[in-house]
Amino acid sequence: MSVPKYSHKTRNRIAILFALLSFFLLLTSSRMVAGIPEQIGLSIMSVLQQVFDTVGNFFSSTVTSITELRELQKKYQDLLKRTELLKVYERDYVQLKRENELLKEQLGLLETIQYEAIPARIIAKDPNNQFYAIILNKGIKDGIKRNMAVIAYQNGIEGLVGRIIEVSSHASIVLPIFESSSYIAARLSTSRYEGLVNGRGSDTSNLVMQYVRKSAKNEIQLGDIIVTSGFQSLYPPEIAIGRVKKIEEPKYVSSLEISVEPILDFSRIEYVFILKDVPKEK
Amino acid sequence: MITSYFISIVILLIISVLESTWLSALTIFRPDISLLVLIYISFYSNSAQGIVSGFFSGLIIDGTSLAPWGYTAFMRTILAWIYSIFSGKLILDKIFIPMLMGFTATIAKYIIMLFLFLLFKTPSLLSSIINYNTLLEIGLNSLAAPIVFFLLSLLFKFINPKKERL
Repeated sequence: MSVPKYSHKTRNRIAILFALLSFFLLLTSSRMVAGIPEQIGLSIMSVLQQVFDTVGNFFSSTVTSITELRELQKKYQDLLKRTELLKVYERDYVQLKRENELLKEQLGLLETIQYEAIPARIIAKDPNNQFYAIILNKGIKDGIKRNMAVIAYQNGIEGLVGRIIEVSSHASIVLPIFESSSYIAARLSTSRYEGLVNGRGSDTSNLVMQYVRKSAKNEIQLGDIIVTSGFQSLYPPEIAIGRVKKIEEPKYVSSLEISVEPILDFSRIEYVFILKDVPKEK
Repeated sequence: MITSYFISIVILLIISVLESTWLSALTIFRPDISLLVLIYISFYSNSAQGIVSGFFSGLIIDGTSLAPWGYTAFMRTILAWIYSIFSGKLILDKIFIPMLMGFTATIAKYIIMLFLFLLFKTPSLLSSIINYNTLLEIGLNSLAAPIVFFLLSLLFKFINPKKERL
């Protein structure tokens, strides 16, 4: 690799040029405006991320298979009468059963969704530690558009993950609900009071629900479920967001500040569903 | 020239992809390997290679991030610039100087972030800087730097065995 040895002045000029250029991009950049350069970046990176994700899955499934095999061998050591063929069938059976259960669960959950939904897998997370983008393996070619709502299931509960903010041909980026730029029109599922849920920019922090009038305090209980109100066209109504964790009554504000624990554990989500804005035909 | 710049960009991209996929589960105990790779390239290249590759890899990475376009590019350009200034001016041992570079680079990264967050009035993001994880990252980067530098020296020797520098 022959690299020209620049003089200090030239090197500094290049650095200043690139620093100014990137700073200018920072000034003009907005996620709300369709950004072709961002889409190019997403396209390039998503291809690499898909490759790494596939390889990673291959290795993890291989390791899992080896572990399962060892466990099976231990478990059935005493059963010497079993034939080798039966052992192979058993191993296959265990794997198929797991696959079957997973597919059944997804299919079953898909049936309970009231909107047309596209299942997707999380292939990567934000490369910057200070941001929390979730990258999915579905893009424009799968019918994904900006601002589509994304949900997931955990322990049988349907919960809101966020919304699509960037789409390339085969991948898309989700703005999760805990990001500080995420605002969701919400309501308390029991008392029906409305408010606005805002993220705090960390997947470990609780969300905050604001603009709920103070007179509602006596009707709100800890643990109450907060759902989307549906007034903001981005999110369909009645999708669970979180549970009331703490209720504060700031002195100089006319509304309550409710700390909301997200209903989903974001560190455990692998699969999500992207909701089309078309209700499912029954 | 173009080949070496291209290789640097590809390495930085692959490391970033690795961090966002396989290593993404390790949210707390994870050094910023791409930062260490960037300062290694900047320090050893004795040219604008680190600056150029930092800028272009940053632009692409911003495409998959919630960060505004130009954020990573700006940060990487400045960091690469700082460490290219020290290129050839420090006698590099195998442990102490890499640790020092990992330590100072992480602090520099957070200072740049702080500057940007304050400039763009995003106080909610300040909590992502001033926390326990930042201290942990500084420590982890300092510890990981000698290993990363050693592995990179092997990689670049493999890519180009004739040249001592990149």
